[in-house]
Amino acid sequence: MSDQESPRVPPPSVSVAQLLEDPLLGVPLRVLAGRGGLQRLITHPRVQKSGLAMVGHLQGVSPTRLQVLGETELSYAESLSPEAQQRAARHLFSLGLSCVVITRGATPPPAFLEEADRTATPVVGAPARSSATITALHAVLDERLAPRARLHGVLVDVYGVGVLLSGKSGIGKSEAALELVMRGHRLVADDVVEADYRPPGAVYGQAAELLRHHLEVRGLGVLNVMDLYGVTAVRARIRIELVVALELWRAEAEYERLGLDVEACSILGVPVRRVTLPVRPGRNMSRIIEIAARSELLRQAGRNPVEDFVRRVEAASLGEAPSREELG
Amino acid sequence: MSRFCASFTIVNRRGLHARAATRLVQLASRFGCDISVRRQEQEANAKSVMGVLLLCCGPGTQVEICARGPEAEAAVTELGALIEEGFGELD
Repeated sequence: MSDQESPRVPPPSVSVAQLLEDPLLGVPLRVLAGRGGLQRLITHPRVQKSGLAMVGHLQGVSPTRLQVLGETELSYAESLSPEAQQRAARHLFSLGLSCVVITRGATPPPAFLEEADRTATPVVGAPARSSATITALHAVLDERLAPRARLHGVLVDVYGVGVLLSGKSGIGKSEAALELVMRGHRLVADDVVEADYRPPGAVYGQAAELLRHHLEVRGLGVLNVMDLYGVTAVRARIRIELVVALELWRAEAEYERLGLDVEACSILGVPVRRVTLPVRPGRNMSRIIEIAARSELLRQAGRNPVEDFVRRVEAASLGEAPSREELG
Repeated sequence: MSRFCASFTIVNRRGLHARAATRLVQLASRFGCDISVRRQEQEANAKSVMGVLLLCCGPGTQVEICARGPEAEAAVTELGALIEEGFGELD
């Protein structure tokens, strides 16, 4: 699968200025100092609470993460003498931080603001308490900094399972998707799937904005599936849980006969189960794909029919009567 | 397997619009090799109309065509010629 990915380079980052203007940002942020550094980049989706940096313990502070100073940290800073405040500010702002967020609408000691201006480190204030501010920041950063890749394939929601149809151009991915839509399933993206990683260990797919709801079928051209089949025939986004690789039926190829060996591929580092389906005229791909999705649901529900079957065969060949339980 | 790449500039006034993209994809589909079109960091399968359209290449855009497999060099040369003659749309 990795050969189909074309990861976007450079790795995702967001500048402080972009973060402040982001429409997804659920808390208002106001710049208090260090305007000169608004173009600094944040590259990590999680904030840090870096209070210990004020006492000179700088280990573990990652400059490209947002640093949050809340009530606890500021009450410590306020308890210091003016000289000690200056020292604390020098420690904190010596690190080339992307941005410092002060929560609860508090005002940091003047030494902090001066040091922020001197080092061009943006300091922004949020009116909400730390917990709410951090939740809001993580929501935006998760979206903007998600690892992304563009995949060649067709993504369909089949019984709620996100099925990515892959295979060479002309193998019939879009035709299979159209058949699935006609059988009541929902198209997510045709031909180009924008995938993004969401922790922990999930990968989602959606259509590129420009192509949404469209499907290209050779001989018919570009179709608008929503116009043709209605709003229930499309879906904006789904978790990718199964890859169905379509390939031309090769007489010499070894196809899976039992379904025992689970093949997996990796999308953005997430292992996803893959089945390879040989295509040949007269083989109804949409129904076979439906069955693959049903099997995936069964597997997610903790059932493995193939293992049950194998156990049954083994018991029979050893001359043991399988128990009721084993027979399922 | 042989791999061959070359860069070309979109010269026709309307850029890589829907009809032009279709001509590019149709030509690419005649070859058995894998072909990609790249515009800056965005890459598309040259045999995919949707993928090529998504690159939104206006006039003056530089694209890199890469082919891997049988007839890779011929594929890149012919596709390049199609782009440079403006998809037959030049006045």
